[in-house]
Amino acid sequence: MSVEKYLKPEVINQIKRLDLRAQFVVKGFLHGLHASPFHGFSVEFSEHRKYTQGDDLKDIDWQVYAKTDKYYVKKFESETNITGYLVMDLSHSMGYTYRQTLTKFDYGICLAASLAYLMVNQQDPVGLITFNDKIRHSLPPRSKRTQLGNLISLLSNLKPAGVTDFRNSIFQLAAMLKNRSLVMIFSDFLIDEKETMDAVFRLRHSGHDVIMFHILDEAEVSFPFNGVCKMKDPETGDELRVDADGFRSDYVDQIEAFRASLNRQCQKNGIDYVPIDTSMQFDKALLEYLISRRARG
Amino acid sequence: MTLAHLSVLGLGGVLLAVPVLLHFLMQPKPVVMTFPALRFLQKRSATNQSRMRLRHLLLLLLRCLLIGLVALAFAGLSVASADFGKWLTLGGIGFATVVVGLIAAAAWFRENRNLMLVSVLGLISILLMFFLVHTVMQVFGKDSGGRLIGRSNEPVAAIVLVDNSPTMEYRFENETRFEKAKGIAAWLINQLPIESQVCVAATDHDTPFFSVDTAAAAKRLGKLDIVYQSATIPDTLDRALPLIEKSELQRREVYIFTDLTEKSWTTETSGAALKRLVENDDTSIFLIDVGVKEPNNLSLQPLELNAASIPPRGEIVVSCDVDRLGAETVPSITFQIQANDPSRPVVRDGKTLYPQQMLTQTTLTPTMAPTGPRTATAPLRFSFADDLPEGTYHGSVALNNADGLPGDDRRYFSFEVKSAVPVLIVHGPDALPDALAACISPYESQDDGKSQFDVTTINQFDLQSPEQLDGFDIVYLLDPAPLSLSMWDGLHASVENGNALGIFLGHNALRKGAAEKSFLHPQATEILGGRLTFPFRAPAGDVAFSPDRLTHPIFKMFRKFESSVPWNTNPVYYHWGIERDSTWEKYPTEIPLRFTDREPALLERTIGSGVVMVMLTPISEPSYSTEREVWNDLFVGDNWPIYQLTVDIGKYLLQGDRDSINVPVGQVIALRNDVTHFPETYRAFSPVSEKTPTNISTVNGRISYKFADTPGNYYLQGNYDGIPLQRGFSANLSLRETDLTRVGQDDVDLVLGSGRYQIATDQNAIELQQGTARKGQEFFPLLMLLALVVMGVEHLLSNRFYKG
Repeated sequence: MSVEKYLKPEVINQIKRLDLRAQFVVKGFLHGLHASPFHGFSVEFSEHRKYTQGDDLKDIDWQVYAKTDKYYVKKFESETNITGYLVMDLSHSMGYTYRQTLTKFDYGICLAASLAYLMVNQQDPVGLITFNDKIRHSLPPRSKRTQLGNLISLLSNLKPAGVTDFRNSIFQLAAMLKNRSLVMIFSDFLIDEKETMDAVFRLRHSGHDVIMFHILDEAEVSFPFNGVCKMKDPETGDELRVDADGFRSDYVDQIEAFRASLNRQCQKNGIDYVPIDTSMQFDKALLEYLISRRARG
Repeated sequence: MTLAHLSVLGLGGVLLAVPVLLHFLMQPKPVVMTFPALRFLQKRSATNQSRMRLRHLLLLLLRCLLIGLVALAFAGLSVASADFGKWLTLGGIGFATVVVGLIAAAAWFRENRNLMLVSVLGLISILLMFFLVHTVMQVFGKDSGGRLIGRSNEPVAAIVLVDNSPTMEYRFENETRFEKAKGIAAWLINQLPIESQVCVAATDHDTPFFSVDTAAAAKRLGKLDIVYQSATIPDTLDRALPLIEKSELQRREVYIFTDLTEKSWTTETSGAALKRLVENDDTSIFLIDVGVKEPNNLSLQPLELNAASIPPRGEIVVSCDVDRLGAETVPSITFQIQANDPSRPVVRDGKTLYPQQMLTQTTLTPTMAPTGPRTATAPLRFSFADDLPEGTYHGSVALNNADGLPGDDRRYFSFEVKSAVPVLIVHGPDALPDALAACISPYESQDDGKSQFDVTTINQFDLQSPEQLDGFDIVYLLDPAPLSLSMWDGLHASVENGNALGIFLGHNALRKGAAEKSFLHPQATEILGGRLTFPFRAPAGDVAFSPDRLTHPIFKMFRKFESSVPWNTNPVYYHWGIERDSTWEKYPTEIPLRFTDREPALLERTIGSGVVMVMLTPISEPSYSTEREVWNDLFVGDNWPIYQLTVDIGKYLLQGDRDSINVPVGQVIALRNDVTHFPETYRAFSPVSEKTPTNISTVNGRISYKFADTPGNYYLQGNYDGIPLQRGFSANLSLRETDLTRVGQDDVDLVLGSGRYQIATDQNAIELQQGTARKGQEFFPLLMLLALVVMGVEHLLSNRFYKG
């Protein structure tokens, strides 16, 4: 149980080194998956697959069952290799938090690093793309151990800045990718919905698998403000004077509708959509990745 | 609708600017914060801005409303009491309309979450608006039931009417009703605005007037005292009302202090001014009830004397009843007769000293009848006889029990002791004088000197000249035969001089079926009271005496029996008819008694100082006659009514009974005074010892006293040929004046109009009702309550709008 605490953002915030963060997150996540019976963490363990008739009942992961209501068994050897791209939104809005310990960006890179750690451990090649109004950094995918260090080193030095041009950036990325890959986008998607989906569909049409990690700050989901506030958009600089109390329910409705709309369109086009906010534990995102990974196995 | 303090409303108006200024100038600075998801806010910003403005506006409205309500409350907003309900309805509907309208607007504004709800609320709002408009039209479109006149501190034209009848002397809780009324009235006058016009009126028949100022009014009030011959409240009010009607002051008020006894409120007709008061609502009426709802009282009923004058050795008999009201009390009654002391009363040191010496003094404790709400005992009877010197004697009957009302605890009487009056009975042919003689002067009375009459009986043939009538106070003509003209003239002169004549006509006046010529002579008709026609015949015996009313003094003894007197047992077969002639205009004439065929049976005519009584059937008939038909059976069988009637006619003809010396308070006394036997001038002493005696002189053979305004014994002191001589009389309160029966609200409504007056019982109630009438119904508590509600709503909304 002790390592599971590292799934909590407020705990992981106390660890300054990103590589350690990723390591602790993944360990905490995997420990949770093997809580009972404990089989230990091994390189052999690769991923989960759906339970089929004839599988040993001992291999059923009951933690996963408890979380997903589906039977999964653990696979202990690598069966596939998939190229993964961690696509990180670098825009200024990602550096926002209202009252959480991690900004959206911090949360995103922590999650990205954890996934990178997981993928490298599975010997999957993983690369990193960062963008705001255009692609800013590009680290080609590798499955070597050194890749993790490079990747984490790059992530650690990133600072959110500038405005987002999601469509242009993703179109640029799509042009860059030659092979079928798993593209994991970490963004708050606070841009035009159609523009977002057009870009994602472009990737999807190119044959890539896409996971959209929709990272919002907890305040962006619950709108906890009171009284009259003057809100300022960090990217556009637009300001708006609002009566927060009167706005709350409308805002929450809108943000939910936005997320629901993205989810609906993603499902329709075979895209995994993971809505998360900075107050949530990391395991939800990781699990989603593993499930997606298995689907490609 | 009025405002007591307009300045407060002005101040409220100024204060209203405060929240408005704060709203525009002191808006809080918003917290500036970064928010990346601004695009979602921008989508709804227009709606949100509108809502925010609406909320601010609503709060501003509530705050202004709060200040406005408090200002209105302290400004003393009030309306006429009669309109209060309408204004309340108006306010209620208005408030409900606003609330429902706001809810409907809010529901609509929130983008119609529930269309049905918005529709229903909208519909209700419209209906309420309709009712609001309807009520507004009702309130302003019609004459209101009451209105407020002027400002509350304006001078008042006021009538302060204090009932000062004897029942107001009723003592309860250690003060009389009159004292209580005067106390409250004094307080009331003192708190009237200083330039008010005040008329202090009382039920004492005085002419009402406005006092110079309120101090003078208070002084007049202080001088008021109980009067023993009171006017009614409606009559007094009717006389006083023109004063305030003519007053230039706008505010008019009438205060009536009364014990609400029946006698003060019973009136047959309402005066014009009183009718105007009831019909117009520009005068406030306050009825201050100082009465006691369940009084305890013993009251002596009026006395009855067997005679107003008795012979020296005669017996005076006084009877009376005692009435009991309320609690059971055993009465103790003292009967006393003063000695005739010519040296008293006498004035010493400004005070009158009355005779102290008593001839007799007796105390009785009568057995009371079973208890009940108003139970009378069996009549009490006191008698006294002695060999008294001639003169006037006074006495009283008094209740020794102290009770609430003193006015009916003592009754007074006077009687005269005179030597037997000389009476001449002249009987015609075949007329029997024995019955009359036995009635007016029984043989046994003659023997022991108790008879009032010294009777001389002669045959008509022996009456040769009018001079024979001299020396007789009373002359009876029993079934007289024709008289000479000189005799008629002599009789006329005798009566004119103050003597009495009793004529009982019978068959001797008959000649050939009609009246004998002598009886038709003008001198005769002047005495007889009209022109004799012919005898009425009723052989079947179905005609008898049948008095219409028992008001005449000769029926005094019959009143207690009323309709049970057996008049029919003594039939009248014949009686004379008489027709009214021109002499009726010359002399006061009345018909105290009729036959059952409605023809007159007895006439009374006043000629000069004397009186003539003519009975149209004789009382001198034999019970049986072979020579002629008897005219009646008046003295046959059980003849007590005839006997009593004859006795009472005899007493009435006696001068003393006609010049009554026992009178009700307020009556003018006029006693015959023959200066050949009595003093020409007298000093009259009232029973009020502080009153200075007055001198009265003989005018036209009479002495008159006009000031018998207090119950008690009155003494007339004179001197005849150097010998002190005393006469006098007694005055008593009438039963009406001491009747404590309370009047019902319906009867008061008849006088003052239903709903036109307000009843109070003490100062606080007056203050409250006066305030209601002057200021109307105040909205202060309601407005403050509303302000509290608005404050609460404002607090809730501001908390909700600005959480944290």
